[in-house]
Amino acid sequence: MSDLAARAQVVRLSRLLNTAPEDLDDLQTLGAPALAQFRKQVSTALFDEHRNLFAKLAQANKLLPLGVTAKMTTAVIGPTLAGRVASEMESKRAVALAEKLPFEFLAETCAAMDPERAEPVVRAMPTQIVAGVSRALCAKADYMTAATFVNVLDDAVIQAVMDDNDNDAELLQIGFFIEDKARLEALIGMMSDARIAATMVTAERDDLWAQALAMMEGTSLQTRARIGGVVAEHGDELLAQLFAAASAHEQWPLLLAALPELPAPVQQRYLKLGPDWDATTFDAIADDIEAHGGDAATIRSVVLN
Amino acid sequence: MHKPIDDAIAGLELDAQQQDKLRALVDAARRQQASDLQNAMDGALKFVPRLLRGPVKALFSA
Repeated sequence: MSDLAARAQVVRLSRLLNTAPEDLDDLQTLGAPALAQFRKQVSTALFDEHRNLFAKLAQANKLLPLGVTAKMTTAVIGPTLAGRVASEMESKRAVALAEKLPFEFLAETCAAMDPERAEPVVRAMPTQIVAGVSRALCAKADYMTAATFVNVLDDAVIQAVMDDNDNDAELLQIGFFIEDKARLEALIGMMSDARIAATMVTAERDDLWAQALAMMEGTSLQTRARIGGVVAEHGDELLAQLFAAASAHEQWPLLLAALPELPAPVQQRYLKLGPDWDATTFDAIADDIEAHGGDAATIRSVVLN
Repeated sequence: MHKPIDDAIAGLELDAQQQDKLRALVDAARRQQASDLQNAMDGALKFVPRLLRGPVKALFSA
C-alpha cells in the first residue's frame, strides 16, 4: 500500500516537472512522505521564481472584460499557468472567470494548482463549480488532484460533492489519495453507514481493497471500529472478504487494533471468521498492533482467550 | 541551479547520478515555465482590445 502512495507522489511530481512518471521511477523507493515534501519544495520554488509574472497576468486579467479574459485563458495561458495565476487573483474575479470556463479546463487547472497557496480562491468557489470540476476530474480518473482539494474545502462543500457523486469506487480512489488523515477522518464521519457499506462492497467488486485499507490506515480506532461494525452488520460474506483482504495485504494489525472498540458480539464474529490466532502468530504482529494505536496486551487476551 | 531546489535535491537519499538526473529535470521545468510565461504574455496581448493594449503592455514590461 505504501507503494501505491509512493507511486501517486511520483505521478504528481512528474506532472509538476512536465515529464513522464517513468522518468522518475528511481525516486519511488524514497517513499511517499519524502516525495510529497520534495514536490512541495519544487512547487514553491517554481512559483516563487516567477511570482511577479503570475501577478502581472492576474493584474492584466483585472483590466479586461471577463469574456476576453476567458478566451485568453483557454487560448494562450493554458491550464498549467492558469493554475499558478489563480493564487494571485482576487477571489471574486477568479469565481467570475471560473464560471465562464468549461469544467474540463478547470479540472486541468486544478491539476497544476497548489490548493493551499490558492486557498482563498478555492474556498470562494460555489459548490456547483466544485462538484462539476470533481466530476471532470473523476472522468479523467484524476482522483489524486481531487483529493488534494479536500484539505482546503469546507465540510459542507465536500458533503455536497459526495452527495453529487454516487460512484463509490471513485470515492474510494479519492479517499486513498487524501494525505491529511484528520481530514480523511472527518470525511468518513460525513458518510452514512449505508454509504460506508456500499463502499466496502465496491472494494470487493472492483478489487479496491488496497485502497480501502490504505484509507483506513491512520484513522482513529473509533473510525476503524465503526467501519468494522458496518461491515459486520452488512453480513458475514462482506466481513470475510474484508478479512481476506486484510490477510492478503498484511493489514490484520490495522483491524485488530480497533477490536476492543467493537461491541462484544462483533468481536466474536471477528474471531470466528478471522484466522486461527495462536501465541506465535499473534506475537509476530503485536508491535504492529501497537503501531496502529491498539493495546496489544488487551487484544491478546481477547484473541487468545 | 536554484538554491532552494538544489538543497531539496541534496536532502533526498539519492546517488550522484540520480541527483544529476533530477536536477536536469527540474531545470528543464524551470526553463519551460519561463518560456510558457513569455509565450502567454505575448499571446495575451493579441486578445487585448486596442484601447487597453497600452496599459497591459506597460504592465507586462514593468
